[in-house]
Amino acid sequence: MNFLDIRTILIGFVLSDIVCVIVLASLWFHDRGKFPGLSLWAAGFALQTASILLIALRGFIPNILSIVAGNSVNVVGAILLLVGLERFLGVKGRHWHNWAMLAAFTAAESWFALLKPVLAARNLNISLALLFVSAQCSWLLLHKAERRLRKNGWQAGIIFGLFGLASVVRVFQILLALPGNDFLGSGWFDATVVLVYQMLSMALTFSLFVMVNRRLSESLDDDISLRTRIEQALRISEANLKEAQSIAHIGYWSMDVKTRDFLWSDEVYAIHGIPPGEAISHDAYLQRIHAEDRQRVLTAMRAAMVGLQGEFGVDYSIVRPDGSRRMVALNGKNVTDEAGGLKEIRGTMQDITERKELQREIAYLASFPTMNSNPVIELGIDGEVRYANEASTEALISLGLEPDIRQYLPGTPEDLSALWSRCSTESIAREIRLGEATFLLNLNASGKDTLRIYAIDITDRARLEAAVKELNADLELRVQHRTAELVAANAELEAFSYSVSHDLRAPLRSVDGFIHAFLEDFGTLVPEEGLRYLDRARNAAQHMGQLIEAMLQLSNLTRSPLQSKDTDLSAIALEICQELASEAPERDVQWSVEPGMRALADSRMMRIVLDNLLKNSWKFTTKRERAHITVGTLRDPEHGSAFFVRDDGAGFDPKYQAMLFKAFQRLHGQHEYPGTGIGLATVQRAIHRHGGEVWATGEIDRGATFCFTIPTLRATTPSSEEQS
Amino acid sequence: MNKKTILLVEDNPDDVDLTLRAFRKCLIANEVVVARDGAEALDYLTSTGIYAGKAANELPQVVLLDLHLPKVSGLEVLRAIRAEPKTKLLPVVILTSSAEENDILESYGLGANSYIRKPVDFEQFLDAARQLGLYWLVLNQSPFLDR
Repeated sequence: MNFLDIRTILIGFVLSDIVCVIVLASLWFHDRGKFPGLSLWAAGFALQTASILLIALRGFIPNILSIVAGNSVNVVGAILLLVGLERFLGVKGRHWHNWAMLAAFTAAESWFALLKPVLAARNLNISLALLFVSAQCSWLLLHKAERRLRKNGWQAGIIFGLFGLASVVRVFQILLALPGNDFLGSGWFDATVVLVYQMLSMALTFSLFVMVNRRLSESLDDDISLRTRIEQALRISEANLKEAQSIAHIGYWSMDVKTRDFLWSDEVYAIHGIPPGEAISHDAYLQRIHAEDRQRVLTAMRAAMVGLQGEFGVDYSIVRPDGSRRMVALNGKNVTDEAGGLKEIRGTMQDITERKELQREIAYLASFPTMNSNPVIELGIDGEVRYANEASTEALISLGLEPDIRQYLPGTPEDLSALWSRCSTESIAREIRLGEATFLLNLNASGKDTLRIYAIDITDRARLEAAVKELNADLELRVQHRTAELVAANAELEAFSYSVSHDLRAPLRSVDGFIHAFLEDFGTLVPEEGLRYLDRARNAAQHMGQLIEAMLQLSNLTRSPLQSKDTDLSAIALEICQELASEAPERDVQWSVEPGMRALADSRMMRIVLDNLLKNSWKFTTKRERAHITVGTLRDPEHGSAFFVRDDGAGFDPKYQAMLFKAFQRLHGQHEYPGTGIGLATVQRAIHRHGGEVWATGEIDRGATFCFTIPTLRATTPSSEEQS
Repeated sequence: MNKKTILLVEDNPDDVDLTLRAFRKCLIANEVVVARDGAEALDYLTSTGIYAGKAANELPQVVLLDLHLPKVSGLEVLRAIRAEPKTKLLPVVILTSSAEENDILESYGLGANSYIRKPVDFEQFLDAARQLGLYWLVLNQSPFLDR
């Protein structure tokens, strides 16, 4: 009598297995979309439950059902479990050996149950079959599966291992003590084995449940982290978008067609200079548009709202609350709802103020060449005209020429690059003739391979130049004529002077000579008074001789060429003074000549100047008992440095000053101070020929000072040297 | 000594008379031949024309030559005298009214031996004539030694 009734144990096993099947079936039902293989587990356990039920019904049903089918179904269930595990763990396995084993097992089971019933052989058969499958399961879970999944299934792996161990123990027990032929009548060992199998089945169910749950929670973790990552990526992308908007000054906006309210992105607020988030009604929106542009924007929007226009774009000005103006480009399109009705208008807004300003600047700069009335052309060294302003073609058209600029420009394509390199150091000017006109081209190298050409119409200038040349030639001719006339006049003057010098003197000599002869030969016959008359006639003749002499000197001064050299005026003055003093040793005259007076002048003329001035002084001081004559330099406020000759003689009345230097003008009677009246005119002529000035100051009986300048006045020393 | 003639070339009769008077006053008794123009002077010197009968080798001691002459000018006469080998050493004194620099330079350039400007003052002229006669007729050694 056995303590443990196997049939009862088997019935209990069936019942606990049913619970396991329910658990696994519900597991399959919940997570069937998430993991594969769960259905096979449920099926495997269901088959196991069925097989144990068949075994438990031994005696009530034929042996072929109870023993052969029952055990075979058990092995099939185990194999399904293995296949299910493989699918769950994502491992691909082959099962021909299992199906072969199943066939062999069924055959052996049939043999030892129906033809030659041996319980020990059957027990051995089922134990080896289960060992074969559970070992595979254990190997799969503990070794073959991915490490990550092994972590969740190692308990199940151990339980399969324990299944295998139980089978091995059973095999040894069978080999050591062969049982009888009645399984239900088996002893405690087999009953214990069945109980162990039952426990292990329940543990297996639990461990499978745990394995699925762990994977579920893991995949949930994965989901959460994926979501976090997506959210983060979204945040970054949103931040990037925002930054991109603010960099590009592009914002987006939408307008609800029904409420007409606007939704603006932060950048649109920024463009408008309004703090973000403020509600923007349709009116508030229009308020910000510059009055001039408002109607235009409204028209474009209305066209989009009534569906006339799917997409639209309009540029306009806005006025910020602080009063500053910005240019914006508004682009939009209408968006329809699912029913096809107009839902909203949506679009972008870009701040294009800077762009517009740049465009304006470019247009402004471009206006310089375009509005230039002179041709401006850019020519590539390949011979292609890159740019030509309107004036270029207009110039050609106005000249009645074909408006193809290229053919009038210098240089064949071959030498254009040579021209370019010449221009790169300095610009080249060239004149070209176009029909009636003349143009001056200014060529400059610009860029790597272009020549910039600035042309100026110099037709008028060229014409003027020609006229000037003609005039010059004419002038030259006239100068030649005039020179010839002057030469002739000079020759005439020379002839006149010659005549004066020669022919006028001869009669005088005759007068004087014959009076002299008369006096000599018949002087005794003439009364006293007659002699006096004749004497006066001789004096008159001699005076006329002096006059002729003086006039000749004056005319000589004009005619002879100026030979300027460094002249010692002091030496000349001293020489003249000594001459005068020796001619009249009876006179007491104090001379003072400043030494070192020099001038760049014609020395002969300077001698004539000083001779005339000093003789003048000499003459007008005759009535002084002791006279003083000074030659020196002074600084005149009006004329600068000047030479002077000063005496303390008779002087002159300042009101007749203007007459002093005129030829034949005299301020004193011939009887008082004889003279020709040409001396000072000669002085003036000589000084004027040097480019200098001459003037006189004086008073009656207070002496006179005659000053003159020679423009290239030289080394004068202020000190005076007394000479007597 | 009496053969030491003076050739006076002067077109102005007043000047001729005054000159002759001056010589007389200065006691210059040499024969004075007067030529009224340049051509006549050259005739005399070359014994041609109105002087064709004159001995060709008879040359004056000195020629007093005015510059401003009819027909042939004084300077031309001087040039001709200097060009003719026979007369080229003949002393020639320019006696003229002109003080033109050009005349002076040209005269010396053509080989004048002296240049005297006739003063207007007759007393000065007398003085000049005296010195002239003394110098050229007495002091000066003539190049024509054979006479």
